[in-house]
Amino acid sequence: MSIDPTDPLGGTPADVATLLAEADGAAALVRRLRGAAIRDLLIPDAARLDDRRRAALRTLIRAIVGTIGADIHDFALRRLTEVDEGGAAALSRVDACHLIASIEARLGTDEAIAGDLIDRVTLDLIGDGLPTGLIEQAPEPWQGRAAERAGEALRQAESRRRTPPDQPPYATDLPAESQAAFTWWIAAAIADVARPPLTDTSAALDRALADGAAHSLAQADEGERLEAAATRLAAVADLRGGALVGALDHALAERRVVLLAALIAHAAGTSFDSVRVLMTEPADPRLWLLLRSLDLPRESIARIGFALCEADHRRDVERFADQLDAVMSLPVADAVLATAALRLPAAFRAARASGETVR
Amino acid sequence: MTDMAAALIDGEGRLVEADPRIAALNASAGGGIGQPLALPAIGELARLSRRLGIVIARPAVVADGEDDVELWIRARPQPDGIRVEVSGWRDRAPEPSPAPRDAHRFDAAEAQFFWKSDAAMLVTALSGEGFDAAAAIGQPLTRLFDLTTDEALLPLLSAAAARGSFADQPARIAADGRAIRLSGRAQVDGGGVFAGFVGTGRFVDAAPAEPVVEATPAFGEQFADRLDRALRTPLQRIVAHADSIGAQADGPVRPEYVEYAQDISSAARHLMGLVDDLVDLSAIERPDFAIASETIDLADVTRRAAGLLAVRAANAEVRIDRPAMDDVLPAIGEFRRALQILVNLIGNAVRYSPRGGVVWLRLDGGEGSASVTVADQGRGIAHEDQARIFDKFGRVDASEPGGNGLGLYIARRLARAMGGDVTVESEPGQGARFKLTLPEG
Repeated sequence: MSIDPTDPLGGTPADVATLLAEADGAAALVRRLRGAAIRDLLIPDAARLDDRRRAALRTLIRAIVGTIGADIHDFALRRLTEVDEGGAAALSRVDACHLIASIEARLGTDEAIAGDLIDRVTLDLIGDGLPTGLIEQAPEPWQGRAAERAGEALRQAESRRRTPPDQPPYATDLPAESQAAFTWWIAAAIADVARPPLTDTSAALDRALADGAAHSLAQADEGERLEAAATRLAAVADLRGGALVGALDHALAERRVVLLAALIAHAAGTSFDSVRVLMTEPADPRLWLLLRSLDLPRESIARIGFALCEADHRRDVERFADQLDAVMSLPVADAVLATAALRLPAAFRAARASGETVR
Repeated sequence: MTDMAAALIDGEGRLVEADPRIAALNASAGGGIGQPLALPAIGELARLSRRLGIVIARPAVVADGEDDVELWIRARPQPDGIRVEVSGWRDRAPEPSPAPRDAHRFDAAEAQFFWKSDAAMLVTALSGEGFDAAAAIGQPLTRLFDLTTDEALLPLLSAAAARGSFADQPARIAADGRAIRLSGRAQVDGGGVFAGFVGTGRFVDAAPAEPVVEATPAFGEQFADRLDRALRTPLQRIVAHADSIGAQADGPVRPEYVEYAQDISSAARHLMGLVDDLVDLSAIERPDFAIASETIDLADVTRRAAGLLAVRAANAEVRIDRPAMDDVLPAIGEFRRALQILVNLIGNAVRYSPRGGVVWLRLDGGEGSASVTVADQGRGIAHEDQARIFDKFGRVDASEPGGNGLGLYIARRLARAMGGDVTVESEPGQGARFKLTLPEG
């Protein structure tokens, strides 16, 4: 089907100007690459994303840019076609793949949002790897209309997220803060790429993109996310003691990892995000302390620990077995004290942590 | 479980007592009663179960002489030691008859929807376009999928009984009768008992080849039939294994091997595409080749074809500008064949588009015909080559990867059999516009 071996975009061979421009930028490029190589060397292996998490994260970022970007782009294009043909033409040349690099660069500057994405794909991958057959039978322990309805909503949210995390399509399911940040980043990135030559066009284009972003944001409902549905069920069911143990067993038996995190978070009086960090970070022993603070039986903690070790190859089951004995020898009251900080509001904890670096 | 064998291991890891099957396996590995267990996979699990104080279950492969046996091992702490229950006892086939995990992985790549059921065959998850997932969840699987028409229930049940998998079973969506193919993998609980299915499915419109009907056995037909059977299964196996190496399903693999695995997989997929085309070729070249004449919505067919290629386009960073959801374009032809033609045309357009390019799909009706134009921003085709690309094996540049030079030949033959045509307009450097025309519906 193709014959002409020249550049499909019709470019001429590299000319002198290009050569000189490349030479001009070369020193900075080399510095940047060297810097990145050194930073890469200094990253401990434990902090490095493995290939599956990398792929899952890339897939998620693409899905986010694709869905939010399409919302904004379609809206702005419809608006501009009526009022400004030049702007519409500039806009129609923008495609999602032009935006990815810019969005990834912005992610690099926002630790909170990037961290949320990493934790979320990591937990999804852990859920994917949870072992079967650990528990013989564990039916859904909640009762009552409200809990059943919340349970159904959770099943549906889980179903929407069923695609393997490293393959598209993968539901975006963003919390409100991230949704807002991504929406404005993407709108700004579209404006940058479209970059129309005339000033009045630029104003109309910016207006249309801003309205498109606001329109897209108005449609997002963070309450529909899987994490929110699980948190709601955990709150409605409000389980303690034996019922909580049964519910944790149910979540493990059915490999419902987000529900597992939500049940622990609710019972411990901490946030879902805090528990998710503990579950996705193998070096953090606070998860075991938090489970101990709930006065769970040893078997229950052992099952959760074993399941996480099976699902996450970064964890070491022998080390967990060592820690388990130590955790169980700790009085519950001490465990409650040791995990008190986790029950503080996240913003307060963040402010305290940044205060320490200021001093 | 009839095939379950048990053993008791004391606190020091020594075998206290064992059913004959475990005792024999242990003896063949050089162990005996009162001695440390000689089966490391079982011993490790027993030790872990004792340390953690919980029931633990894992699959394991244990050597039995020169063969490997696949076992499901469950270790349970007791006052007098660890009781180990071993079930499964399946010989690990040296030539894996589509290993459940691999078959599942392969299907996932081609899947258009995902489903999941529990042991009672109630749907617990469903995702994919065109479903009312909320209504299906909690309902019996058989209410969602009509499994009776093509005797698909049997493979499902036998997969459940054997705790294995089934692949590519024909079935229908119960609600609207759309033909689908289902694949699934049985999930197993701690006792080795069936705990439900995790599965994928695809709509059968996308199935490229149908077995040729037995009529006058000609050389060509038999050849295609045999080719299909002889090559497809091994190729699927190659793809499945290469994909599972590439996905690092069984642990980390060095990056260059991941790339090799991807090369192997893509080469095998290319060969599978060739097999599909050769089977089609032999079908359309038969004198009694007939095509159904029905009213179809060409706009709908175009949207579906674009949908089937969405993932490939996304990977190539190409955008497909598909018709609006409410566009309708009635035409006369056979749905499956029209879809096949459009998948070919759009697939070519995606393949030859530059990164960041757009493939436009335009619908036109009137004057007794309905047409779809597929326009790309590729390099275009020189005038002297435009006739040749519709020839059998008529590739312009044989050194290019992808494609085998049969697609457009088949597409044009199929279109003409439906009373239409496939034509091309192109100028070098200005992309190509392929047009499928069918009689107006």
